[in-house]
Amino acid sequence: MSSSYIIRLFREKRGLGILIIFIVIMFLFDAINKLFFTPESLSDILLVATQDGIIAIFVTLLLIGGEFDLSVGEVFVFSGMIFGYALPTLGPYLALLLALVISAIIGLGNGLITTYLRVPSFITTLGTSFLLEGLIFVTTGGFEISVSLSRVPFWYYLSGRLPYGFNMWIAWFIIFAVLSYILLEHTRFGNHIFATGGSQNAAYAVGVNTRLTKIILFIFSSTIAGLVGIMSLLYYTTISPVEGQDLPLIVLAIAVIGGSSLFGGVGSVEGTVFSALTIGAIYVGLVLAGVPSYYYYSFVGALLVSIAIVNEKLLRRKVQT
Amino acid sequence: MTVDYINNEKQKGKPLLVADHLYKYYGDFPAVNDVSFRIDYGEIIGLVGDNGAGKSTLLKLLAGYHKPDKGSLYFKGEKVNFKSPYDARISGIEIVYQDLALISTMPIYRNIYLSFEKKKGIFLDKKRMKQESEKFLKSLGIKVDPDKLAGELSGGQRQLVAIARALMFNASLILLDEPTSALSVYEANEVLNFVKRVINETYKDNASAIIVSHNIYHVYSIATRILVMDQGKLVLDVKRGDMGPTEMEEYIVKITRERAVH
Ligand SMILES: Nc1ncnc2c1ncn2[C@@H]1O[C@H](COP(=O)(O)OP(=O)(O)O)[C@@H](O)[C@H]1O
Ligand SMILES: [Mg+2]
Repeated sequence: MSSSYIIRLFREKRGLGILIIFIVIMFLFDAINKLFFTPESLSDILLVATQDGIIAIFVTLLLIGGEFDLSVGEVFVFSGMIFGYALPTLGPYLALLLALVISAIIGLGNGLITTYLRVPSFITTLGTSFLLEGLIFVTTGGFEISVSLSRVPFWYYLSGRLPYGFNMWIAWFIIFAVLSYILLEHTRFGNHIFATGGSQNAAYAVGVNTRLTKIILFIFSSTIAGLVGIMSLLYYTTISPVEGQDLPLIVLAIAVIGGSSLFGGVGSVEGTVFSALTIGAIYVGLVLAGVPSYYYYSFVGALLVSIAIVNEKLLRRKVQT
Repeated sequence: MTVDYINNEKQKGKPLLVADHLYKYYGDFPAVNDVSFRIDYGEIIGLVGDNGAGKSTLLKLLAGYHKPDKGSLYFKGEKVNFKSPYDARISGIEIVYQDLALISTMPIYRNIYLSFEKKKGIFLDKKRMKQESEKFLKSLGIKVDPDKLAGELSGGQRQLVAIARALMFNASLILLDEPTSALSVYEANEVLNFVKRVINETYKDNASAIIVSHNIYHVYSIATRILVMDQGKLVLDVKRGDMGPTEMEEYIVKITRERAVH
C-alpha cells in the first residue's frame, strides 16, 4: 500500500479519519475512567452530540454547497421564543408551524441576499444573527422563555425521555442523518450541492441551477435550527436568550472536524455524524475525568485546527499539479 | 458509444443556427458588436481571431451562458431565448469552455453527467454513469478510472474529458473554445479528427461544430468554413476552398495593421 493510496482513501472516505479519532477517544476515556462505558455517560454523550449534530448536518450540506450559516444559533432561540409566545394563543400545532415557517423565511432571506445581491454569506448570516439577537432581547427583556408541556401534546415525539437516560433526539438525529446522507450521495440535488460548492461558475456553465441549490440549503439549515430550538425548549422547558451564541461556531467546528472544507465542494454527512459524537465524547469524558469544563473548548479548538491542517494541506493536494 | 440519435432525414445544407445582429456589452465595451451569420447542418466552422476579439463571448451567447443585449438567435428554425446554459443544452447545444473546465473536487463521471444525470427512479444510477463514461472515454482514446477526481488529471486529460462530455449527449451544435490549447500536437490532431468523424459519421451530418482558435492553421484542415472576428465584429466569412490559410492570415494581419494606423 503506497502512501498515495492511503491519502486517496482518506480523501474519498471523508468520515473515516474522524471515525478512527472517535474510537481512539472512546477507548482513551474508558482507560482513564471506568464509568465511561455506562448508559448514563453514553446518553450524556448523545445529548450533546445530537442537539448540535442535527444542526451540524445541515450546516455541512450548506458548507459543501460553498456557503456559511452563522445565524443558526439565533434562529434556534428565535424559533423557540416564537413557539413559546404563540403557544397560548395559537395552540401547539399552529405555533409549531409559525415558528418553522418564520425560520424558513429567515433562511430564504439569507439565500436571496447571498445569491442575488452577491453578499458573502459570512456577512449576510452574521447580519441576520445580530438582527435576531436584538429582536430577541427587545422581546424577552433578557428573560428566559418557558413552556408548559401539558399544552403541547406532541412534546414526547420531539423531546421525550427514553429508558437509560436516552431521549427522542437520538431518533431525530438518526432520521436526519439517514435522509440527508441519501439526499447528498444518491440524488441529483446532492450531486448539484457538490458541484455548486466545487465551482459555482463551472457548475452553472453546464446547467446547474446554483442559486436555487444554495437557497434551498439556506432554508434547510435555518428551518432545522428552528426545529431544534423548539426541541430544546420542550426538553428543558425553558430556553435562554443567550443560548444560541456559541452554536454557529460549534456546528461549523463539527462540520470541519468531520472533514468538510471551508472552500466548498468537499464533505460528508457521516463525517459530521462521527464528529458530533466525538465532540460529545470529549465533553462527557472531560467531565468524568474531573477536568474543569472550560478545557472542553481548548480541546475542541486544538482538534479543529489539527484536522483543518490535515484536510487542506494533505488531502486537498492534487496528485498532479 | 452512447450517441444513439440518428435522424434518417438528411438535414445537410439546411440552416441549423442563425445569429441575427447580436450584441454583447461588458459595461460600455462591445465584446460582440453586431454579429450575424448562419450555420447549416453538417458544417464545421473554424472561428479565428486575435486574443480579445470576442470569440469566447460569442460562444457564450450561443451556449446560454450570457444573454445577448441585442439581436436574436434562431436554432433549428425557431427563435430561441436561452435563460441559462441548461436551456441551451436541452435544445442540443454543447460547449467546451475555454475558462470553465471541470470541477476538480468531483469524480470524472460526475463531471461528465453533471445536470444530465442518469437516474433509477429518484436515485442516481452511479454504476451506469461510470460504465458509460468509461466506455465513451475509451472510444476517444482516454484510459482513465472514471471514479478519479477531475483534479487528479493532467491539463490535457481534463481537456479531453471536457470534449468527451460535449460529444456525448447527442447535441446538434458543438462549440469548442480553443479545445487544443492544453494538448500536444498529436493529441490536438486526434481530437480535431475525432470531432470531424463524430459530426460526419456518427451524427451523419445532422450536427455542426464551431471550433475556436487564435491560429488559423490549427483549424483550417478540418473546417468547412472559416469565420474571422476582430474587435467584436465578424470581418470575414468564407468557405474553405475560396481562400487559402496564408491568404487569410495576411488578410487578418492587414486588418489589424489598418486599425493600428487609425
Ligand atoms: N467577463 C468579462 N467582463 C469584462 N470584460 C470581459 C469579460 N470577458 C471578456 N471580456 C473582454 O471582452 C473582450 C473579448 O473577450 P473574449 O470574448 O474572451 O475574446 P477572445 O475569446 O476572442 O480572446 C476582451 O477585451 C475581454 O477583455
Ligand atoms: Mg477566448
